[in-house]
Amino acid sequence: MMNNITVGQYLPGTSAVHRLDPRVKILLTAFYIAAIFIAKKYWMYAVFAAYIIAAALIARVPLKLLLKSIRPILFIVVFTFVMNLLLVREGNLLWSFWKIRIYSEGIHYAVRLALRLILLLFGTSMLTFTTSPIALTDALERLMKPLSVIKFPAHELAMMMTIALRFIPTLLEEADKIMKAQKARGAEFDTGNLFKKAKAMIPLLVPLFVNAFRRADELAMAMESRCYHGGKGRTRLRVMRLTYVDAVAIGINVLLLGLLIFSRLI
Amino acid sequence: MSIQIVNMTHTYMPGTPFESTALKEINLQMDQSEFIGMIGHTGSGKSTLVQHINGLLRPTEGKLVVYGIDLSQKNADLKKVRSTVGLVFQYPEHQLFEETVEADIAFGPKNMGVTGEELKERVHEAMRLVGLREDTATRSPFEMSGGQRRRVAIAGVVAMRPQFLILDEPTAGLDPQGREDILRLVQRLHSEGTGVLMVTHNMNDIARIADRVIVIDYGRIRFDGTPREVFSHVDELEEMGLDVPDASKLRRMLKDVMPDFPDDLFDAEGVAAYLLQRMRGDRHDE
Repeated sequence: MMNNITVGQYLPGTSAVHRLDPRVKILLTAFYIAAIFIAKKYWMYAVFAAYIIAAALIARVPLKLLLKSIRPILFIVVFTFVMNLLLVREGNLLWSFWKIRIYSEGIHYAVRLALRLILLLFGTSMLTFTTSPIALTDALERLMKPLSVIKFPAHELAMMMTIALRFIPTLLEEADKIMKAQKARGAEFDTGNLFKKAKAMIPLLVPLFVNAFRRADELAMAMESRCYHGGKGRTRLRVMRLTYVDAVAIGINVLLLGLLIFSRLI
Repeated sequence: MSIQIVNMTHTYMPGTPFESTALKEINLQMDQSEFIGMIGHTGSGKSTLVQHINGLLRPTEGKLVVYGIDLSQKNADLKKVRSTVGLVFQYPEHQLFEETVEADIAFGPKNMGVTGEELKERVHEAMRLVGLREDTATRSPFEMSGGQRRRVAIAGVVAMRPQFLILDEPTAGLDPQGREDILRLVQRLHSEGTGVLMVTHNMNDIARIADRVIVIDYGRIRFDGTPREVFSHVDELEEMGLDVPDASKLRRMLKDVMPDFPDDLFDAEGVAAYLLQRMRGDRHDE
């Protein structure tokens, strides 16, 4: 049950996409997200799809895995598609039956939003597939640093994210272990009605929380004993530097921006 | 035979890039009359094997019959298996969740459908067996010491009155006194008719109390026999990254100076007795 979570799974590699500066990758992903929502022409979506697929090929991310990444939002995609199809009342009436009326604009809206959502997931998945969580939080910290002028706790936030990410697999493993241990004592987790199922979670959740608190306490102690006192004056093991790969990536995106502007003007 | 395993193989996550075979063609028979020790380094497949016997994992291939119930069958009665074979996990105190010791111990038998007077009786019997005082019954397990908490957790399995008890490193992380207590408890349960399979890294304990030792390495059974037989393979065991009982190491050292030293002495008492006999004998020769 816990083995099919693909979003946020890092696939280690040494490709050009992997070697991009994580700060650049985050900014380019942000640009990409904005761009797919600004784009209106279908051929522009094809361009973005080609861009992501090319990135996946370079990074050697299996396309099947990329496709799988839309699974968690598949319901939302289908739901918004149907809603747009039925509720938009613009353009020419194409088809009507009883109370259902489908207009030409409705089809366009529906297809566009579905494409945007799918491309959105592809793009963000590519970011997490090719960037380790540690690099991501490091980059976020750097990007948020200017905000410390207004007393924004960039370092603390990044540290919390790093720790949270680090402990997700640990907690999953632990949950699996406790579940098995309680099953060995005759507990049943997947039978009965909703109320029964919720009650059956108590023997899992109580030990899980107790252990999580114990672990947090130990971690805090271990960090303090290694002289951790916040981000001030801390140097980095991996210093982020821009390289020619970043320049190439930024160049490609400038081209994309040009195309995008062109597609909105014509 | 209480537990029969025939050609059993287990593969984790088959068909994915993370596929790994944890057990390969295991053949094993275990009887309720036995006290079995199981050794193997971390990741050798011990825990995977142990979880099969309790029905927590299904064999990918092969056959597994536990007290007449065929666990390779899809519709096997898991509840029956779990009340017949008790499984105490590593660090079992980490799964305690109830407000009182009593309530936590009662969780297992309650799931089996035991109620009322019998439930109470079972809880108190289990507490007595693991050496918990009556007045701890209403205390919270979370305010007890580590060793005490482990007793509560073991009592939780004992209260299900299993005919066969499996313990995965029951003494890990305990002080010498706590370890001795747990071992004595397991020995007592065995003398009262419970079959025991104990996974451990402590070779001295195994050599002393088990009457059969199984060695697992990379998902395969490498040795299976009496401690005397198994611990005579000092070099092979060390090659697998396993420790051997201190007495076995001593025997190997002594063998360098006394080439006729017998190969099958593995416990401290045996080695001491032999040495005493030799010394007396030598004196007679003079």
